[in-house]
Amino acid sequence: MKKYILLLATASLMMMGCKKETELKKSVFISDPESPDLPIYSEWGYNTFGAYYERAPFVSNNSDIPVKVIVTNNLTSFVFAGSKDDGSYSGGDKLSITFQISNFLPQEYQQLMTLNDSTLDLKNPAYKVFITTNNSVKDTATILSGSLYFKRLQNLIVDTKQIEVIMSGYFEFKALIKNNPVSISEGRFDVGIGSDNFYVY
Amino acid sequence: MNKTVFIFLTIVCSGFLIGKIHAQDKETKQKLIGIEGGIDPIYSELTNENYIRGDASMRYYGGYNESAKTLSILFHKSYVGVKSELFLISNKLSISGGLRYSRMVGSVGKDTYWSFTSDYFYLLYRQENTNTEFLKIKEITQISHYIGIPLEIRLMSRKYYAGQLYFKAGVELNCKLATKTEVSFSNDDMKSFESGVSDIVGKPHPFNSIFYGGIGIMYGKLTGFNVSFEATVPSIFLTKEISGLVNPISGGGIKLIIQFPNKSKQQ
Repeated sequence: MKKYILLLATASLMMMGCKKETELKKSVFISDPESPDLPIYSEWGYNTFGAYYERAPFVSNNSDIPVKVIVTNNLTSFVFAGSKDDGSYSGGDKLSITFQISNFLPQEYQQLMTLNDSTLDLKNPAYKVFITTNNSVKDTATILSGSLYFKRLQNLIVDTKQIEVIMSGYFEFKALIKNNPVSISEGRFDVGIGSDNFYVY
Repeated sequence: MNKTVFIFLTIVCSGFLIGKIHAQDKETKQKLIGIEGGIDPIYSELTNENYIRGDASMRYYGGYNESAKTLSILFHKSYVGVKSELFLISNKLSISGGLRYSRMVGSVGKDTYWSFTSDYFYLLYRQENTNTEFLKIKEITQISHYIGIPLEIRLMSRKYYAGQLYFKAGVELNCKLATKTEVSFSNDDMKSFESGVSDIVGKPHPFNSIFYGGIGIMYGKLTGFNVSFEATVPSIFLTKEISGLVNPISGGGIKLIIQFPNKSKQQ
């Protein structure tokens, strides 16, 4: 009985210490005036991303967490999950692009700060790119050229408490997917990474 | 400022011209002294949006979130003053001047009309190296006090029942006496950051000028006690940086004027 009371007390204390900023978790989509299908590039932690998959806009949505950072099996994956609009009434397919790197293993989301102002050449054999459609079909992209640019990372402090790391940047690449050449262009992201979407296991 | 100078000189020159005509006119002229008071709500915009984070509070039926800064931006001016008025040209046209104390209040808060929105917004407080600090704020209010000189021209029109319709144009030049910025934080422990937020918002310019028009009805007599109810339409700020927080554009309001005849009469 004492053990359960202690566990309950510990859980309560932990919940009180983890201050939730619900408003910061929401997505704020501000259209890019030059590419209205895509969100503008920003550095506010608006939890949006977008790119053109061929000519179709691939953007974050309101049902999937825009970006997850997953550290497991000595690999770190940046998973961008959203929807590719094919112009149909249903709004298009679920799609995710995963950038996987093997020479960077953060144990806490704060350690992502080391990526500030860094560019990953996706042709580097240490990096892999995967395209997952409708949460089921996962294809490996054979990169022809392209990069993932972490332009700015910021420690976000709200009312003197650190809440998350804001990760903002660009990406684009050309690749062979199922032997078909595919172009991902004008990719941009502005997301917050905190304890909710940073996984280490 | 050029627009202000032009309007001010126009009214002053008109006053001199009217005064010159008055000097040549042998008719008895009425002089009045009085007190006035009024309030003008003014449509305003944010002076600087760059320190406020956008939010996802707007939601449409389909569940699609559109970005919005759902802020409530308010500005109003209230005033009291004394003035002296001289009637000319068969008591149809008058010029007046006086002294006026004005209190201008600008505020920025969260529009809580939508029930699913938070009651605070995020203000970008500081960025140093790779650290970015936000503060959660419910409302910022800036209150400024001014002493000013109004100059007006009034044209009396036809009588309506017990009252007499009139039209007015005027310009007001104000000098700032004091300013205070108050911040309501979502977390009361952040009160010590109020001065920092005040520095971000900035202070209004020491001087401002306003052009206004008016239409009103006067009850009573020019030779005795009279009361006027006036609609100030429009009220236009001629200068920028009226408030460090919001930029008032234009508006209107209401005014009450109580006047008495001055003992000395012009012959």
